[in-house]
Amino acid sequence: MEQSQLLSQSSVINTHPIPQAARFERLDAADAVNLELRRKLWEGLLPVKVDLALNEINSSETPRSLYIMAPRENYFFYILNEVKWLFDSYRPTDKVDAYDEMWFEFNNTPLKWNVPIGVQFDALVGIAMKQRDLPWCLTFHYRGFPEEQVLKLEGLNFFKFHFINALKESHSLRMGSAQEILANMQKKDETRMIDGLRKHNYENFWEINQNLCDKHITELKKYALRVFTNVHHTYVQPNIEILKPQDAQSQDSEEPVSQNPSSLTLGDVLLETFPRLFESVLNDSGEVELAKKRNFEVIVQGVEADMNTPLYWLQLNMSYLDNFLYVCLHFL
Amino acid sequence: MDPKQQTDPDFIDDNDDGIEISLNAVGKASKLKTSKIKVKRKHTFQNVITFVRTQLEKGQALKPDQSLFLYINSQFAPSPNERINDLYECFKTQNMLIVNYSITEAWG
Repeated sequence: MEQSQLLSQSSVINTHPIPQAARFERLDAADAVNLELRRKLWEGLLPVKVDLALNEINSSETPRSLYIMAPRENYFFYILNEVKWLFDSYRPTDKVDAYDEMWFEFNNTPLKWNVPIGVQFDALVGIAMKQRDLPWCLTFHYRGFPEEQVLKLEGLNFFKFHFINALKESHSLRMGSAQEILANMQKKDETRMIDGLRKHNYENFWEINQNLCDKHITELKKYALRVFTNVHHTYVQPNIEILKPQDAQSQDSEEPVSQNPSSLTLGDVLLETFPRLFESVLNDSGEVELAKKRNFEVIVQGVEADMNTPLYWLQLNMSYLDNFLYVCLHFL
Repeated sequence: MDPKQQTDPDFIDDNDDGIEISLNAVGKASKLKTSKIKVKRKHTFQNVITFVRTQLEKGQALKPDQSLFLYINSQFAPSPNERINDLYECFKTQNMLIVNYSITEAWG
């Protein structure tokens, strides 16, 4: 395995340039979606090495390690079958399907079933020291589930339950309600989406999700954003309302242009949500710039995020499969 | 580490305030004696799940091995490790977070 081929994301994505805020007003949702990027993100893989926990080996023979490529956008559930296929023989037969006791771990940190693989990697490993931690070395446990920390898998159907509900939650945030899913999504559509996840099949998943994800900014009420870090046990989900142009103008009639909702950037939102981490400073050219107050990386889909990126563009193009945009803060 | 004891990092700035949650039974689920509770912003949704479950089990209305489903605004079931502060700020109506609970999957 060559390291250079295993890197899941290069730091340069071959894509259309990020639209400047001024041009945004007349963009249709269809224009702002970069399908090439969507496909590339779907195909992003992380090299992972999984070892069975030492205290669970039932025989004198040490099991070999599992080397597997894990899709960044998918969940640990996706690699579970392969892991069990290799390690089941080292456990008593009556214990191999106790799904609610199983968990993955990285460096003593329990990993989560309901957060995408790439999000956890970006938060826990970051970018600068990435090479040191590839392949990503994980330990798999059949038991000793750390109850307080992590959501249990509780059987195969629970994965579907948690994913569909995360989808409804992000929809509720963005559209004001999950009615579109509750009322209009048919059983067969839901089955197709889950099948797309289980087999990591782009068409099955995205043909259904496209209608949920690709919304024009005028249709959105709020952004669906989650901030995940390596110093907190869960994510932060801030409330980010999208101001309609007339609301913005009535607040401050002297500056209608700067309040254009499509010009809201990632930096704007992070500054407002985490004033202890970010501040506005004047750079050498006398321009206002966002600065970090501590030592951390801001990562989206495996790359260091540009603070000037419009949040609408990120929501549309860099969200994960539950339609939440996950921003990772990796503290060094 | 027990998340109830684990403090949030200092850049997550919740005060020690509680917010009001309205608990509403759906379908065959029994009504609770206390249908309005106050929960601290820094706690997770697991606290609410545990509260409802404990109350129902105490009143013999739920067996320990029976499922319990909790929803926000009759729309979706949040993950147990979501923060109360975030759910409240994102989904509150009239300064309250509306939680519906059911013994069967209601809005699946």
